[in-house]
Amino acid sequence: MPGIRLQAPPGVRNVRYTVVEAANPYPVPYTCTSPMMGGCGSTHLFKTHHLNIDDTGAVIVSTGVYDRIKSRLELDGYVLANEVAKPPPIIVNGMPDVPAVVLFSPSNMEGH
Amino acid sequence: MANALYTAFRNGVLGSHATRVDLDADTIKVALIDHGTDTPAPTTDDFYNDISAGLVGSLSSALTTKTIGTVAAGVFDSDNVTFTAVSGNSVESVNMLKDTGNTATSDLIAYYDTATGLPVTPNGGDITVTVAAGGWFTF
Repeated sequence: MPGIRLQAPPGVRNVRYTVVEAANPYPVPYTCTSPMMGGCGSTHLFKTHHLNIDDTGAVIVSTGVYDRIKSRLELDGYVLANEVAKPPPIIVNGMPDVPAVVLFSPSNMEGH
Repeated sequence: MANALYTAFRNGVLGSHATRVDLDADTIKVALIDHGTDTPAPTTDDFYNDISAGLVGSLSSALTTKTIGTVAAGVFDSDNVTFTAVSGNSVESVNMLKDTGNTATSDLIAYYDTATGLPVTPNGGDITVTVAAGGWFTF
């Protein structure tokens, strides 16, 4: 499945561009991950897409994302540059910090 | 929210759930979920049909090279997971489940919304979920 390369307006480089689908509220507000992890740290009430614009003003999105936010992109001056047959892979790094489940601990055993 | 084991899975380990998960023998898969369609609720959702409406792309292949207690005591680990040519909507969480072939009996296991790279906006290419050095989770 090809990706869609978008070109940002002149001067928009190396930034995160956020698109909110105002007609699509989250069933439960979504708290974005911190900027260090790739999110924005905010709580979103409506479906939100973060697009990382590179140093050439380009970003590649899936056809599914493009179809949902196309109208907003056009309003903001983004243009479709071309299809990308093989977009670069995306890495989601590590699934850490599920708290260890303590089945028994010394404190639980006290008094028994 | 935060990364968590599904409560029903935790209770199932202790024997109170309708089905059991055998992480060694069962088919364990991972799902990318769009919270705009269906937000997982780790404390109340129990089977995959509770969140499957939010699936982006397809379920992963079955986890490979699974280990229990090898990385460290009580740790479940596996190879990384790659989703091929993901063309769907933005993803807010990664969810692990036991795939029985029936969404109504596929136990939800673990929920991850906090990891580097989340939320992820697919670009039509592959998305690889790398497992932390400490494994998926620890009991």
